[in-house]
Amino acid sequence: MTTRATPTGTALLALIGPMIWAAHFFAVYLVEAVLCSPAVSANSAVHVAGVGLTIGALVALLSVRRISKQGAWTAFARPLIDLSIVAVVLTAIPFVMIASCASSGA
Amino acid sequence: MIETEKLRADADTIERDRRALERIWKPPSGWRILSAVNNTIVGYYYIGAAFLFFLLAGILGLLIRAQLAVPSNSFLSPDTYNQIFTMHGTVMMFLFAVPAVEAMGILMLPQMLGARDLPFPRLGAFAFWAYFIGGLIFFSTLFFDLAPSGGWTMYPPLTSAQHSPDIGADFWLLGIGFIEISAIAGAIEIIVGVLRTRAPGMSLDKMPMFAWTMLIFAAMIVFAFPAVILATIMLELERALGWPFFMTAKGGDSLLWQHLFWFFGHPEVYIIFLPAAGMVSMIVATMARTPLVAHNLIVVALIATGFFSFGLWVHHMFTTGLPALSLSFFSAASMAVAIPSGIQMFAWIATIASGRMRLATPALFVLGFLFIFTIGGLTGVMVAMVPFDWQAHDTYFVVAHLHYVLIGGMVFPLFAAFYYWAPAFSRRPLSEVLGRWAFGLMFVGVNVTFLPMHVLGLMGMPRRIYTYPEVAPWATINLIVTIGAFMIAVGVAVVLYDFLRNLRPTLTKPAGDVWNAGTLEWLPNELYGSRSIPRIATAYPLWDQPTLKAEVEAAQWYLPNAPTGTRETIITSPVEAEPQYLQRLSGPGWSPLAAAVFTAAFFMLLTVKYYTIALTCGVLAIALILVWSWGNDPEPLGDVDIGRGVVVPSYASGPVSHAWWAVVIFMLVAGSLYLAYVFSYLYIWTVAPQGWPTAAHARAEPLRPALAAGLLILAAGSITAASRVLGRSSSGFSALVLVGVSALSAALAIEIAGHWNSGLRPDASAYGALVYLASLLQFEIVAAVVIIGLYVIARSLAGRMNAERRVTFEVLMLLSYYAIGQGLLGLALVHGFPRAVS
Repeated sequence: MTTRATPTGTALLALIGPMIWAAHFFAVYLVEAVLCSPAVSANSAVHVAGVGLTIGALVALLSVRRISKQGAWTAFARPLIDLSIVAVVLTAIPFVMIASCASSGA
Repeated sequence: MIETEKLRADADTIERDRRALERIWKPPSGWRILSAVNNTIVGYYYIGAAFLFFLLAGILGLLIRAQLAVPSNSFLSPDTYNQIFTMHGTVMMFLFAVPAVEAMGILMLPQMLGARDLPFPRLGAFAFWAYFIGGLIFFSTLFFDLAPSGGWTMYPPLTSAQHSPDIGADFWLLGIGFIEISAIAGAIEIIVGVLRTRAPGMSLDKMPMFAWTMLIFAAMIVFAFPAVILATIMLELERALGWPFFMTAKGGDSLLWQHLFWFFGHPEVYIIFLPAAGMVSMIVATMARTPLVAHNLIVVALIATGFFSFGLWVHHMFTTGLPALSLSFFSAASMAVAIPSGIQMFAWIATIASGRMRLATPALFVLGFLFIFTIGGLTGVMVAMVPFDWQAHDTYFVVAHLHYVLIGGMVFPLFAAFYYWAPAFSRRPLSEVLGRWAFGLMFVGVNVTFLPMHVLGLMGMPRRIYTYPEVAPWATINLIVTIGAFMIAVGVAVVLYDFLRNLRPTLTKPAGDVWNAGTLEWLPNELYGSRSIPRIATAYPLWDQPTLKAEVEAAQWYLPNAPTGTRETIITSPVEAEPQYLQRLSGPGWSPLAAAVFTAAFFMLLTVKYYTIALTCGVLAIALILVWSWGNDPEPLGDVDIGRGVVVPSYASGPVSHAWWAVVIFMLVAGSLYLAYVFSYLYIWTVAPQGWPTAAHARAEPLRPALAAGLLILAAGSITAASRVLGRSSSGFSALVLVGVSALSAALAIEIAGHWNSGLRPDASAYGALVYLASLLQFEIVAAVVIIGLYVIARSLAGRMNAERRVTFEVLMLLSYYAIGQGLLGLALVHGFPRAVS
């Protein structure tokens, strides 16, 4: 994305969108698993942490989308960032719909 | 007159070069053909073996359907039925689906990319033989009533020593673990092959879609398979030595298996599907006679699918009582993955609509794929909804869904690929008439078999039951399903007949480009690939560069000869594919086959608890691998002219070297395995924190981990210093390597001794087992470093290493740094985490 990056580095930067999605996904899962575990039981913190992580991920994704310039790899990077934004938002929707640490009741 | 003589001299040179290439690449004859390592021959072996396992697993499927055709049937006993359905799933997933895809990659990628061969021919041959020998032994357990019977998912506690005391589960755990290792070896070969051996000019955006999908496939294997390898190690340790990872009574949790298994298992579906999507992309473009619509967008969709598929594993665990919030994350990711899948579907449909589709057999199978896979995808979205999944879980609805996905998403594209690419590798194309019959029978058969299964599932028929009572209309529907299954079998039999009648695999002079395709695998090919390696300007060079075929045949492009007199291929840069150096490749040899035999023997003898002989076989396997490695890392020969005035080095080290890339990928595999361990450690803490040490115990002996960490840092310093003195002082270099590997070993020994002296036992609690597992994983990597360290010293003393010729040492250096990093992380986790939380 920067003109100084090596071709390999640029190609890897094209994957930044899904990488941020992956970091967000595993972070929210980890936070939920730890905060809802019997050892911690910090139910009230789950939503705050989840929403915070989601805002962080979205800010990161929108930032890299904005700074990515036109070039051969933008063709891959931009749509990947857009898909990642959708996936991050989808992942975060449960935070506003489901009570913290509630059992699934399955 | 002078011009005529020059032309004659040129013609003589071209002919002499051609003969030299033929001599250098000539395969071994007679039974020695088993020692061949060339990708084409190994690819034929691989595809033949995968198809054999497909047929065997298919026969098992027919036995299942024969048993379920009528209610209260006693055709199979309950135990036999359990073994058969377990083996059907296991063989289809582990011995057919992934190897078949890997086989297509090994066979086709070099030709498609314009390479002479893949970069590690002996590794490819080893991967094949390990898979084939291990697979045959594993399958033969059925004939001795020793096959596993816990389902292909092998959930504990059903598969624990208490509930499955026979050795069937051990065969599964060690056999599949071993076969997974061979799949990883193949994946490393494919990643380096795709990224480093492409024809000059074939930048990533011009790379054939099949190569893209094979790259993503192999990358996914690197991150997904270690999780199941760790799970199999843990369950086998529990069964053999009583380390209670999955025993609730001792602080373990059986759900941990499901997490690890499905972290591999769900990406596995996409690991199978993505290469099939690559095949479809290639076939659709040729059959529709137009470039693929939205080429770059499909690449984006493939990459996104690869990433998102790692966020779906709990999608298989919706009924395990996990918190609703957890389930929702995975439900959301399951919805998200439908978006890139949809992009691919619409791009294929748009390509078909924008071109003039030729409805030959490959196109029919592709159309069948689009229909069947779409239904499988839609039912996948249904089971991704938590409330629906609660109703459908463990019923025949799920069986129907997964067969629509796997048959539609993999088997149909694979058969399309057989019919499409047969002329590139066979003296004769396959029969169009037989192909149409096969397609018709299989398409109707699949829908007659699996569509009614959805209804059976919604009616509540559970999966994995060996019989059922006479409940209307279960009996009628089951009979229809069985008729459909046999119809599929007839379709496959027609394909088999077509193979026997028409398929004539060849190393030279195949039938050729009967479809007027646009990619390089359709260049006239010999065993060494194309006559010369062209520079590529577009994604469809044979369409867009009309004179290319003639120029390649006239030896006007790169590497029309063998400048070093050995097997060679051009190593190019990973993104832009510019020539970087000439790699000299290994030739035929028995060591890959022999190493695979002893590796298989090691694992299988461990299963039947012949530990001494198993250990001997393990040592022999390692010795044979070192024997084949001895010839690698050849002496630099200076720069060579590869044609058209391009001069490249004949040797490279450091990050430019293809070996460096392979080691880095191996480190990613090892790192993924260790991350799966870290996950397991933290997971067990979240479910059973009461098993963790008390604050006082956690803080005991602070000096021991500090000493171990100090030794690890000393090892890093020694290896770094060895790198600096390499080529200057052989004795100094050897001493530093020895200090490095000794310090690494001592750090591990101190750690294990410390745990033992503190009274911690691996069989007493899940916590103890996890602590010792960290040391076991560290032992595996340290053992590899020690062996390679001694090997490096031997090479140095033999004069086969110097400041320039240093690739073997770099392998040691990278692995040592990895082992040091993993060791420090392990110390932080095992000693730091309990202190932090107690």
